[in-house]
Amino acid sequence: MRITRLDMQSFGKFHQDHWDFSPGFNCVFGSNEAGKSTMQGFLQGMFYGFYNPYTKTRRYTPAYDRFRPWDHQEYRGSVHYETDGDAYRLSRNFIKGDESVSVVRLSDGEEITNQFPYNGTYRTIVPGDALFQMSGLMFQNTVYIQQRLVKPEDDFASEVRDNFVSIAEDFSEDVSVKNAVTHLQDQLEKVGSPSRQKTSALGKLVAELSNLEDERLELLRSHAQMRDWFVMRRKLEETNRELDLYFQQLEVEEEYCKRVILEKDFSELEETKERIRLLEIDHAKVDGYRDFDDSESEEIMELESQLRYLKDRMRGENSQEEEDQEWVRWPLLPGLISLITVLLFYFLAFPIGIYVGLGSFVGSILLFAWVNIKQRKSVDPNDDEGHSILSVADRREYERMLARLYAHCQKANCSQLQEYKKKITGKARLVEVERDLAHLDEVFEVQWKEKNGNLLEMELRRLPVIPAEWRVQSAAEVAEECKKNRQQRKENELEIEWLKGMIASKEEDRSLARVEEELGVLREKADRLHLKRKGLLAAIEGLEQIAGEVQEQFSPELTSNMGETLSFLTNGKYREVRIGRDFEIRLVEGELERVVPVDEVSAATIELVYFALRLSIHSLSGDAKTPLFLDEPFSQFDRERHVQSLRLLAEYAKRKQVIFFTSQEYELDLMHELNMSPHLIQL
Amino acid sequence: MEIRFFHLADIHIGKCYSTHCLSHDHAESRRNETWGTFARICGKAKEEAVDFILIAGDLFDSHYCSLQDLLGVSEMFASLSPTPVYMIAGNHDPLGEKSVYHWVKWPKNVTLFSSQQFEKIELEEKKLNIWGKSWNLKEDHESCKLPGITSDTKNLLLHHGDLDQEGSLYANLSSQTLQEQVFDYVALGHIHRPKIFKNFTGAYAGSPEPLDFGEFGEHGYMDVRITDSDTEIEFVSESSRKFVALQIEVAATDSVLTLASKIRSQTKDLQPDQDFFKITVEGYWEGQFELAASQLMALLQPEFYDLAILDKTKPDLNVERLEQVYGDSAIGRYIRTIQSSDLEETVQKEALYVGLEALLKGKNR
Repeated sequence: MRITRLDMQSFGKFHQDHWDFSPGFNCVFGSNEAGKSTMQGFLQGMFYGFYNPYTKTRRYTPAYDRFRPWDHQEYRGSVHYETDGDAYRLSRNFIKGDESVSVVRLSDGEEITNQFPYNGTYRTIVPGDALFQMSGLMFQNTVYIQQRLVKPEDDFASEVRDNFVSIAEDFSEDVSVKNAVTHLQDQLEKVGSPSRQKTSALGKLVAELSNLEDERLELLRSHAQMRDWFVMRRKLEETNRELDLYFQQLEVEEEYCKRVILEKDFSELEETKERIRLLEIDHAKVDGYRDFDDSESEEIMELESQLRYLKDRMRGENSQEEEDQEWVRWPLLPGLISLITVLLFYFLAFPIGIYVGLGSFVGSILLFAWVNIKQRKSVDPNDDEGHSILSVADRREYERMLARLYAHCQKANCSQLQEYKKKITGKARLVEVERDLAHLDEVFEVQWKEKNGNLLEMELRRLPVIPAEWRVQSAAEVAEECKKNRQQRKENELEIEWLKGMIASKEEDRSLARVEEELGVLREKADRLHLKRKGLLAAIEGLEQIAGEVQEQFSPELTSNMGETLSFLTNGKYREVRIGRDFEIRLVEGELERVVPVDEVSAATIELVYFALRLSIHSLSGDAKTPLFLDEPFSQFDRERHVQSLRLLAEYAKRKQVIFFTSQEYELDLMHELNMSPHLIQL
Repeated sequence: MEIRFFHLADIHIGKCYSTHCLSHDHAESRRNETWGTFARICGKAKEEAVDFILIAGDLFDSHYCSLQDLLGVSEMFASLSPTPVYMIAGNHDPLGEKSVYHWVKWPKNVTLFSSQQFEKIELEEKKLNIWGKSWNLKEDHESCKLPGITSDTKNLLLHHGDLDQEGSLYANLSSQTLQEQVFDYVALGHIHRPKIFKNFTGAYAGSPEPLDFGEFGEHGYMDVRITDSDTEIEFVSESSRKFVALQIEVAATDSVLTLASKIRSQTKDLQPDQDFFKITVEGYWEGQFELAASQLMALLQPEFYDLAILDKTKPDLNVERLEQVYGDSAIGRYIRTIQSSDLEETVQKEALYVGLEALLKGKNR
């Protein structure tokens, strides 16, 4: 395939410009900024469009805007080419929204656009794919050989060596696995690692996450604890309510106990009052004796006694009292002796003496009792038995005394001594009762005072009545229960207050929701960074893996072609190119076939190696007739190499169309010197 | 005689908002807004002297709510007195031993159904029974059995759970059973979007404020009037903000500015200065969208109350074409190396794209 004409109707700085090309060597001459790059861009755009070849959607490369005419509304052109004996015109309108590509066979004017495969991503045909049998990427990297921009500090040899694989494989020196790895490592450095907490983005994030997670866990623990405290508080409050109810019951029981005590006190007062009442009854009974004159009672009792004596004397008997006393005294004596005997024998352990003593003692006791049962005979002035045994003198004395006795009795309004004696007794009783009453009144007053009788009465009215079923408890027991109850309630209240305080303190904690929200934000960021890190690590590993893969057989055709080209370019000095397992490039020098590493050759020779490589790539790739475009590729060459290179190109141009761009007049001179007769296109 | 009440549910006081929902800064104010709306509805209930308020569960988000929340609600209910409040616990605030409902003493006008079986409260003066039961766990696998009712009084049912969801973990109720039982009103909670049913007399009140982007549409409460002959249910919109989710498709020619214009165009009839917006960006984007997303946010944020941009774009890289074109070259081999690795899918994608980006970096793209 060869290009015959370019029509740049509206492209870049060109407007309605056209150029014709010859089949062989074409030289496009123009100073800097003349439009050489624009022409190259035009060719690229016409055959492939300005679409990003790497994307799934139709995106435009920066070249689209770079070549868009500023002052024209059109953006189009056409290319005439020949292939397989036919001539065609490829036309393209680049305007977005109005894009079109068409191919017309010039011999019959037939449009053959549809014969080209449609590209779904670009939504148009890509004529270059079919015409050159290569993609736009390949086209750029194989069809164009550009000037290398060698900076003084560049290690050109290394660069060529390092990029050799890329150049050889991708046909592009832009793809550098080593550079890609470096780039990714820089990115990885920025992302950092989880362990570098102070210096890396991921590390800081992980540290912050960790702190927040700890805070979250702490808050969860705190919340759980708070809930437990609420449960405890509730239980304690419930317990206290029960204790309150029980306490109310105890208070009632306390009242009961109080009542018991008060009732006891009251009953003591009541008892005294009862005694007083009884005395008052007695008093009422004997009050009648108040006016009884008992001043002569002694005399009367004396008279009675004398009368009794007289009576007894007259009987020839001792007073009953003396007899009784005799009878009383006599049994007592042997009783006492018997007792002493018993004790003596008891302590001396003589059993017979014990029995004797005991018998005597018991006998005397019995006798004593019999004597006491015997009644003393009363002496009554009217006793007939006494009256009959009195002597006359005694009788007269007796009667005189009796009369006096009767007179006293009558004076006291008593018909009988008995009555008089009764009145005496009654009066004595009255005195006694009044004395007792006075005493009891005093006692009652003291008791009333001591027991605070008024209050006691009030309290007894106030205090609840004790129900029959109440189990009597001591006030001490109840008081003890009350004390325990109060103590327990107080302890519970203290604990409740403490729990309230602890719960309130938890309210100052940060809200769990806020912490979890912050955590969510950080986790998202961390996840993104983790993914990025993993991706970078995997990418680096992948790249290092492919960089380390050994090419068992590295395109022998390419190295053979390179060798031939290099040999021509160096006039046979370097006849062969060898690529080692470590991608070291070595050149075989001279007839001795000395193998020289590329690092040891001159920069100019390396340039030639590079040129040979690019030329070999071009000759081996794509369609056999693909044109070759060169953009000032020999600007760094010395004259000798320049000449050889041009000669090589001249030979090359016999087989393929060559389009050579230059801004150097001396290059044109060289071409004329070499009789290359280039088809000159002046921009 | 007319009985009028407000039916609310799913207020979720104290709720935590995940990052896909709200921006972190607005989460706290959203909790306050939920509070505010709830208080406003309760205030209205008192002003309009409704007979009572029904709350069908999930009043609190008990994992997150605070004692202050509980005290605040208790005080607010007390201020509504004498208007009674009848409520049940839901799956987000179950009534177990450690339930938040036990943290405060509820005022006398509040009745919390505390049984896990349906229990009845009789309002004799209104000739009305209110049936309700509370959750005591976070899940209830058993389908719900309704209490038997008689028709001599009116009957309301207060329930929190799913409807017609066989196998549900959330106390599933059958609408057919509800049709058979003929309650005068079934006050439901659990579903956050309001819905009035036609096949039986009842409704999901929905949450008074939407709680995430899945809860689009209006939110509020149900204003219900029961007369001797009929039950009228009116949905009252009350929420202060909405959640709006939009999708934007990126075109190949789009830049950050054109994307921003697209978003503005889609939201011009909405309320970006008031509501929560989540814009999902889909399509192919050249390079990493992360930077573009930040720029987009910076451009649009001043015009929006709350804006989240969700990146669902894919890197615009034709891996298949690259593999085809580069074959055995470094790029082709790299693609095959990564694709044949046993990396996780997301890591594989990330590795593929960052590696290719790095390899293509020097090229004229």
